[in-house]
Amino acid sequence: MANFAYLSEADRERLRLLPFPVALPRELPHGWKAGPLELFEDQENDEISLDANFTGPDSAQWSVANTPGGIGDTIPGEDEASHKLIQHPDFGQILVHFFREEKKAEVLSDWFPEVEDASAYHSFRGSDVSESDLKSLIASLAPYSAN
Amino acid sequence: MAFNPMMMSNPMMGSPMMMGGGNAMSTMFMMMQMMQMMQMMQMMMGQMGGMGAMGGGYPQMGNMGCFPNMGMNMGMQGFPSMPSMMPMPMPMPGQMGGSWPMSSGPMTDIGSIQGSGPTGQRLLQSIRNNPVTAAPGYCYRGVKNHMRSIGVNLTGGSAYQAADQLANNPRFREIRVSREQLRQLPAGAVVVWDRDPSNRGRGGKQHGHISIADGRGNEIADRPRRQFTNYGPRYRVFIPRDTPGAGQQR
Repeated sequence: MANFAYLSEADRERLRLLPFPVALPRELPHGWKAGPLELFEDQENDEISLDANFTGPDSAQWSVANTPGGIGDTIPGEDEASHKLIQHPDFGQILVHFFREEKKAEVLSDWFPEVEDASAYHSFRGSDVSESDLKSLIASLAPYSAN
Repeated sequence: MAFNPMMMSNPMMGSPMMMGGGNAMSTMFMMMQMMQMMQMMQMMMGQMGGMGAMGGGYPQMGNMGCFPNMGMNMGMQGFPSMPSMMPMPMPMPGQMGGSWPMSSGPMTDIGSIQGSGPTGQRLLQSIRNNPVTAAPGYCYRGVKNHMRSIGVNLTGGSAYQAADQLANNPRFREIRVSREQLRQLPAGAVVVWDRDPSNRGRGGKQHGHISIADGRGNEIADRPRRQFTNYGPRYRVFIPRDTPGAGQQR
């Protein structure tokens, strides 16, 4: 399967026009589908972000947030059950918070630590994602490129 | 008028600190010079990272914040966007437990603050009118939007970057309060928690946190929650200048 093959032509055009780089999974695990790209744009406040949403087996949901700013630390609070540092080849050590048992994770990541020239930040969150699918999705994350 | 030696200019920038002589005034200058040299040394130690004794002998504050099991190093490090030498008041160990070393706000008698003023009320109104619960990690976006409603434009991508802007904004006054007093702040007070650059590559606390107090012990950011008092080792507090009693110093 080619990289980012799940994106439609309209999605690709949208991504091409974005003024900041985004992170997306290169490919999706079996049974997963891409949902709409959600663009939040508040021109008055100079705020913009793009969420890429995905759905998987058993009502699993996963989305990747991309934004050039307006952020602070991700604060899991007292609901956090556990956390893990996951090494990623492009984005460094990603801190992932789990809010229920990890096999069906309610999951939230910190903003990825390694971002090119800090022109954009990326994180992900999900619910009811199986452990193996979560591993695949994270491993598949990459800076999006049209080529 | 009381003479505050800490408000003297930096000897490295050409002040008359190097004056000699045997009179009382020159002795005082020498003492001031020594104090400023001590400050410089402390700052240099902090910028080297992890010394944990910045600004007056605070102990190393490890394992604080919301990831108590991570063993994060919360060593006091210099804040890159801060000017390298500013006049700064002497810290008060045991009182503050966490103001940024360069914080220039006066120690404030929180009991003298009588509710919120017009700016705080307008911020509160903005929060009520736009009770948006943003996705986790977008605290700065939420605060920026509410601040814009009172004509204050904050810039930059990460929450910690708001601190210097608020310190230089004529509509706000920086104050110093203890952690315990953070839940007594009036509506419209802004609390900025520093990032932890020493933690880079190990996850967490790269952007800091910012929130607006609602005057009832809660904070509004990406979502409403009880005001943090122990998110990290360093925080700065700003209140609207029109807050009644805001000028009272301890």
